[in-house]
Amino acid sequence: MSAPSTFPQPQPGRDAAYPFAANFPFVAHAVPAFAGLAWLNHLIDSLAPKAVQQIGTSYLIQYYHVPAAISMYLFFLLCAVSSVVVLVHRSPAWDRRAHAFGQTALLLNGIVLGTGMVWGKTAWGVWWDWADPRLLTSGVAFLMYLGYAMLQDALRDDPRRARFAAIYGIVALLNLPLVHYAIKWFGTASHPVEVRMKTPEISMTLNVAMGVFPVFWLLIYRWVHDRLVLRDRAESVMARLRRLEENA
Amino acid sequence: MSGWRAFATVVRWDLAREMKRRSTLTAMAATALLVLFVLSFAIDARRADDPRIRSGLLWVTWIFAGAVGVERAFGAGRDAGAMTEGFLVAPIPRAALFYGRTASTFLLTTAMSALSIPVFLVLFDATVPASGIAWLAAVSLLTLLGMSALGVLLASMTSTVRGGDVLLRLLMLPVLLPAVAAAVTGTGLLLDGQDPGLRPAALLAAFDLTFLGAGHVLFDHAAEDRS
Repeated sequence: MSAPSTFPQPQPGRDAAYPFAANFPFVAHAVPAFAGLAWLNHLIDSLAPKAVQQIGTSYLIQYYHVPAAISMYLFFLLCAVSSVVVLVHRSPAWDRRAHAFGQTALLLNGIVLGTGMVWGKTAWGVWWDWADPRLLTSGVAFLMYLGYAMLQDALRDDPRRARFAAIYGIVALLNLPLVHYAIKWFGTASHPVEVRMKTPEISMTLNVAMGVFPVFWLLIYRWVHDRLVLRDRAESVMARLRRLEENA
Repeated sequence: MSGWRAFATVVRWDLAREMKRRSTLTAMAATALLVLFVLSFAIDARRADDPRIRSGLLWVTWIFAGAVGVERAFGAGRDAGAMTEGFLVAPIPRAALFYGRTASTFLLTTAMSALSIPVFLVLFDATVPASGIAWLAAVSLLTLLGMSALGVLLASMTSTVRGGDVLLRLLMLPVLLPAVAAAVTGTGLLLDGQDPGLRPAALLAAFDLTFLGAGHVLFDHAAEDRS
């Protein structure tokens, strides 16, 4: 029924940063990212005792929740921008970037939801509050980007995958402001919109977390991206082996 | 063929097919009835006197029945598939096919909602104030238009994918949630005898413009390998 796609075939490995990272993405990117997160955790522990004294232990979650939420929106945006480039230039490299941005954003979305729910349980006594606009916005975004991941997976061997995923990546981003306003207008706000920073330690720790968190998540993104490069390379080798076997 | 003539041809052909077979409208109406009955058993209809819950029941029914119509926009039988391929290879603007199919899906889902609302009012003993009928009609039409535009764009991708009907719902329903929130809130206030104001309609209009515009630009990419 469908003619072959005009989308160029992937060229694995072409855009990997350097050979070591291309071959060992976990060691090159994920290990430094996890080490950095552990360091950030130590920093928060050592710098935030005054915040804990003033507001309580649950306040510590803000150092993860707020930077994760900001990084999540940044990655949604990067996924959509990469998707536009995929549709305009039909570039397999940008397709891998869009795919990796989408996967990393979904992971961040899970962290935002998880930390938000833990905070909600401590502050409001419930894990989930249907009236909270920001929790609901994150929940809807999670469902949309889960759909994005499922679309990528369902069409894994289909040449139309990159194009269809790019279209949905753009649709999902276009919908985010509508989700935000729908829930803001038709829900009842109970989310803390502003957390007051009363001591230099509290604000400095949050600023460090805000600055450092996206960098760590860019490393995680790069790990996911290079895994996709390796997967494409493995599939290309397998296809070549199958052709050799058929010709033998 | 000009864009308008192509648009009219697509709508006319889709509606003529439906008049001949009535397969999509029948499937949607049957789904609406089934969902209404299942929901009335699930939540005990006699106690569902909260207007917001009744409004939610109505919109869940319309969304699930409407999804059946959207699903069939590109895949209802061999003749529909063949005609879609025909439209795609014809020298007509792709946007005309998108808008034409959106219009025909919108008309069919509107017919489904018009058929099912009396059943809903009877089963749940609900009343719509006379002054609110125009408001309910406007919000229903805006929601169904947005759902048709979004659904046709996504169905053009999933209709040729194995398991595409399930995938279509997984992709469409989360994106549809802001429109559902606006429609449910507005209808709930209306059933409660209150004035819903303009906010639900404003959000639904923004939703429609977003996805009609997105379809205009993206449908070409979604359907390009079918020509």
